[in-house]
Amino acid sequence: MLNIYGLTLIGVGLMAGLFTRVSLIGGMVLLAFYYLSHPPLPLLSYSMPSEGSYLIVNKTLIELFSMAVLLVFPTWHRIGIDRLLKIS
Amino acid sequence: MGMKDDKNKNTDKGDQKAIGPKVKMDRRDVLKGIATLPIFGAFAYSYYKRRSHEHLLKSNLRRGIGLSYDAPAPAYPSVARDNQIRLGIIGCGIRGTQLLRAAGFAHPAWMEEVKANAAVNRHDKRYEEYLAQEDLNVVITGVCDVFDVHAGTAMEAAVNSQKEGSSRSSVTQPKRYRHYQELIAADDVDAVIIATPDHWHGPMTIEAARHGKHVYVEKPLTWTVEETYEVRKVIKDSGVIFQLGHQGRQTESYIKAREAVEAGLLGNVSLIEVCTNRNDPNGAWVYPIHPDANPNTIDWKQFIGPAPWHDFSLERFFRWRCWWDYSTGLNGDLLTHEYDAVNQIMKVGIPHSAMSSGGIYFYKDGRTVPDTLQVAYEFPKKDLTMLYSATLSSGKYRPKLFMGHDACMEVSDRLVVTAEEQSTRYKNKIISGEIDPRYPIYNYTPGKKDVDAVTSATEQYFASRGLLYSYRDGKRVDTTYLHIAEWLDCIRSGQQPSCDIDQAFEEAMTAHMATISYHEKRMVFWDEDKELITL
Repeated sequence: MLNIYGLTLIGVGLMAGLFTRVSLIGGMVLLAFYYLSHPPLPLLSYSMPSEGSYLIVNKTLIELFSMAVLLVFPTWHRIGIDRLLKIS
Repeated sequence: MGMKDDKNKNTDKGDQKAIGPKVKMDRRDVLKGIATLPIFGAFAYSYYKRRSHEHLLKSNLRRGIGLSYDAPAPAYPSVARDNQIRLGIIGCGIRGTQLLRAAGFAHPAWMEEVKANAAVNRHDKRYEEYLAQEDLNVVITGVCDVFDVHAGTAMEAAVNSQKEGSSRSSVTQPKRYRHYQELIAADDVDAVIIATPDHWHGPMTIEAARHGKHVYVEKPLTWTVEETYEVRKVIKDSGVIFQLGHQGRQTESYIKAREAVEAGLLGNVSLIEVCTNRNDPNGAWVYPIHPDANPNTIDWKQFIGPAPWHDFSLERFFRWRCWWDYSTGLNGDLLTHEYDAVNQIMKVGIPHSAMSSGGIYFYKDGRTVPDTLQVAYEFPKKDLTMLYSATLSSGKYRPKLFMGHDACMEVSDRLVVTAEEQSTRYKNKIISGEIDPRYPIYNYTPGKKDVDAVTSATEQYFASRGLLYSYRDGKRVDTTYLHIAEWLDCIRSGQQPSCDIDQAFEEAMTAHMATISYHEKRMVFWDEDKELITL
């Protein structure tokens, strides 16, 4: 449940540019969890069918890095509700 | 969503007014601040469009196919189980124990085992499912087995009344019979379950029917061609209720497959491919030998019965399926299941010809029956060929495939129909894009009531497990229980069960044709008028 609400709130936040920094950090934490729940270690295979568990070319990891880029090069004080709220 | 956006805008404006005097906020700030909100509108609009498009496709497809996603109607009306039926069981080995359980008599040790297992593994539903079986109002009054240990376990199972929530008020102590003829002749036995080696199926069925006892016999119906005629005659003359143990008759996906064929979804089916793939000693009939088995605990002479004499052998007793002397090999054990499913779905009847080949290629343990076998059956009147392909030393899963000109149907515990790209029937729909030959046009997963164009990998993974089960009202049920229950209900109502003697006759002759062809190394034919297998 926490996952569902967390994901929804993060998604809304990122789309609206609202509390962007918190949403980005929250999103990165969740993605890190997803990545670590199927750690791409040798001799470890997960019993559920999944899209695969790759070391680097992994969509979860790539998404996580993209969010890190957004965090480092912030735009929310330019466009988004954060501008109205004067969050920078 | 649009309204919500407006609301947000209003609130934003309100905020702006409230904080207006303190913070300077110009028009540019507001515009840039709310610039992201239209994204929600665009997102909601495209989501709605996509959903309604998918919905339209699905409902068009659903109407166009003409085959419902409802669970099949019950094969027979439900019967009041007021009068108690007294059962005798002959043959209490691996299958006999399972049949007893299906009738509501699980062995206490098994109950404890599955109960303990369910406590640590919540995916193990065996205990729960056993408890969910309806009380069939039967008692076991007679038990017969030539091996003392097996007879003893069956006796323990027969008095087991620990089924929680059971309405069984009294426990009947069954009598152990040393000889099957005594059990059949007993006055307190109304019906018998026969789960002996193949060479005994025919003689015991005949004996039971002559005594007016209803019969549930394991497949195959018979061990020789000759006794098949006699079994059919005696069953018909006596009027007893007969059921052959092909529990696949109860599998929901098979029943839906029959509906799919009747609805003409497949077009002309020219080829049916059915298979057996096993890759473990147990699957190859190398069953464990009981430590207490010896000439004193086994009535060897009775075991041999109509079979050619052989000196006492524990291997032959426990692994009897490996010898033609007592068994019908892959043909009787596993081909019959596949054939019966095809006969249930397509009503093919006895084939015009059979040609089989194979050999003992892996289990060179002294067996006489092949471990690898292929049979080609021709049904010229139905314009189709049925191929059976089996190996006991490779486990690669192959579904039952019904290959039609218009669509191909895969039958397992699920049912998947995929249109053929060159189909005549679906030509216009394929051109219009309503049907995509890459995806199933009909995908029936029992217990699931919706159109399911592409099931997720996770669901497929779980659905492909456990062919032993069917579904009723969305609940998983043991097919053997359903099959036994159908037989008992038919005894009460006087109706014919789904795998009656006519179906059984067709099953037996079809299997015998494959066996004769294997031995003779040539094609054998079925003379429909004379009802004879000819070379």
